[in-house]
Amino acid sequence: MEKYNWETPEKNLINEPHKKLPISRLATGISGLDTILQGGLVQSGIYLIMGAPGAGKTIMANQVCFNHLAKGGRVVYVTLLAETHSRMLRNLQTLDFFDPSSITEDITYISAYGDFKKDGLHGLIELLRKEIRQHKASLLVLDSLMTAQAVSDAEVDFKSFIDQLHVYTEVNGCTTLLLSPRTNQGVLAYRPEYTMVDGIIELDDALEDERAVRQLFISKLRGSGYLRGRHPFTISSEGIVVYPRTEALLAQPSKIYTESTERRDFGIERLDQMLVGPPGSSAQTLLPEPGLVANSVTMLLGVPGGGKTILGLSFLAAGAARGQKGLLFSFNETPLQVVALAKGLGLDKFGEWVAQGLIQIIWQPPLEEILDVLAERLLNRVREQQIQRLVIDSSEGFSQSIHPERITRFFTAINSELRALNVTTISLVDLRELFSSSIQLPISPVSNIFDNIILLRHVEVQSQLHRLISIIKERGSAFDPSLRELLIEAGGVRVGNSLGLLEGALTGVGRASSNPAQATINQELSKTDQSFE
Amino acid sequence: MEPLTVLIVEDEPSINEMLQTLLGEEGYKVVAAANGQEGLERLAELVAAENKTDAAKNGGSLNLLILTDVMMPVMDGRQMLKKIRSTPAYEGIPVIIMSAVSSFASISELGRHVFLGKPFEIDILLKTIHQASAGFGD
Repeated sequence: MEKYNWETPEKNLINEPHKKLPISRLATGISGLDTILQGGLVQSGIYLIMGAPGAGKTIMANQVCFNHLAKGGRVVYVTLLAETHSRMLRNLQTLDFFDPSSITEDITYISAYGDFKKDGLHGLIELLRKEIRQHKASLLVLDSLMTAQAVSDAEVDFKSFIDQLHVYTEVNGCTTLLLSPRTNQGVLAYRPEYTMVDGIIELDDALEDERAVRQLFISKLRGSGYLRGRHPFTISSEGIVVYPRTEALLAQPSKIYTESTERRDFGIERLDQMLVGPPGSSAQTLLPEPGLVANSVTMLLGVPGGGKTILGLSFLAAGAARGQKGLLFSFNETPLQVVALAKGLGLDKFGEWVAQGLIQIIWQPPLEEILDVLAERLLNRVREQQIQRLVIDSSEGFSQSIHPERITRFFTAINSELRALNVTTISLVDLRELFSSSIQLPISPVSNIFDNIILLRHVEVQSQLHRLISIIKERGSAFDPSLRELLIEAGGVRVGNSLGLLEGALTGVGRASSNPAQATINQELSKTDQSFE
Repeated sequence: MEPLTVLIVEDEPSINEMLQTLLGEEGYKVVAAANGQEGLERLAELVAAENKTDAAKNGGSLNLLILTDVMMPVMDGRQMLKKIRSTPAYEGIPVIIMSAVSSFASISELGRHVFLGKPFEIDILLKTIHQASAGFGD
């Protein structure tokens, strides 16, 4: 056995304090929660899980227990006038994490009510101390704390109970979850358990515009940073899944990016040329692959029927032809409708590319979706499948989800991450006004969110409707600012000549130009256009 | 053989109580004090009682170990240890200093001691006590 050298006591150092070691954590194993907690709960801490009945406290605690067991941990689950263990376990059987075979000597469910009734908080702390030590527990759950508090004679007794629990759990390296119903927030702030625990996780189930949404909120966490704010969560057969609030999660993109030199095309020659410079410019002739800057985000703004979806599908098809993976994140047409539409446009191989996974489609109706669930679904697919081209049809699907007031910050965050992942994103945005002298952008301010804006409108010329396409903005690139006709034909999509002889076309009603200088410009544009014919 | 006596000097009641309970359960004889002054008083009583034992009369070592905090009211752990080290009757008693402050770790004037950083797990404490008491008298 090692002996200490008494002649050099300064070397007899055990468990040196304040040595900057990584924080030991107990991973909850709950998807999203460990991300919010920056890796998990700090080991040996005491955490209060609060929420109204039905908020998910018991499921969360058991999910942490079973995940901890799976990693070789040992658990003591103590109840105080809560539901019976058999009833609780029966209710857990529908959840994927529940594994009856893992209920061995490594997890102990006990009722402490007898000792508590007999000897009060002293009896309870004695029982907890003995059980932790006997079972060498690394995780303790006490359900419910309210029972213990309700019968304690004085607040000081309850404080002493929490204090002793701290000491015993710390020396045993045991992390503790205290489950408690939520009470009045104002009163709660002064309660001993609120001030003395290491962390507080609040579970909430609230109505937002008549839609029920569960949210998790960490109001206190000692010894670790965490993602602040409310984070939605769901309870399904998977148990609890938490979706970190996108703006908090992506406050910094996953990598630093610079503007790409690569371009990605629509497969529509004149449109791709418009995206690199005015007609006849050197960029149009020098750039080997015209199109959008690879890691850019484009707002494709247009009226219904203006050709947004069609341009989006053309963009994905052009990528697939080059072997680039694309994703259509759709709130509108179903996958079958999309493939049929593409076929009608002459994109004959679209269905084949979908079958091969070169073009992928995620479809969901824009009904009860939560912004952060959508964000995770989208980004997971982009990351897992290394998607290079993304079309969102349409951004309205996000706006109709729960918490639409977050939409500007949400798009800022998600678009920044998509740029970092070198994805070329086209977000279709619905323009409400079919014919109007002004345009109301449904998302603003757009400059932080979108790099490029392409506008699609109808224009009436001599009692005939024409589709117009124009580039309003393209970050870091010259572009052709002329208004051109977008022609959707059985054989595909074309961009036609400039409509230079018209004035006021963007208002929806075009008039012949009376300006001689404009007429000269238009003549020059027409000459350049002829070279495309 | 008589069990080792552990003198716990700790001002934090919950920690003091926890150490008494856990060390008692491990078979140690436990005496507790809430500060350095009380620690010296308990130590004097313990040594007086020890000196009456047959082992002590035959020249044996004191079967005693001090487990002390540093920052305490009335008299802190450093002052207490200085007094202990200047008292020949207490020579050779092993000391475990418990503290969350690492600057207390290498104070040579405190003589023979082991420094145990707080927070610690009970198994580490038990191992430290076991080794420190085994090293006593070398």
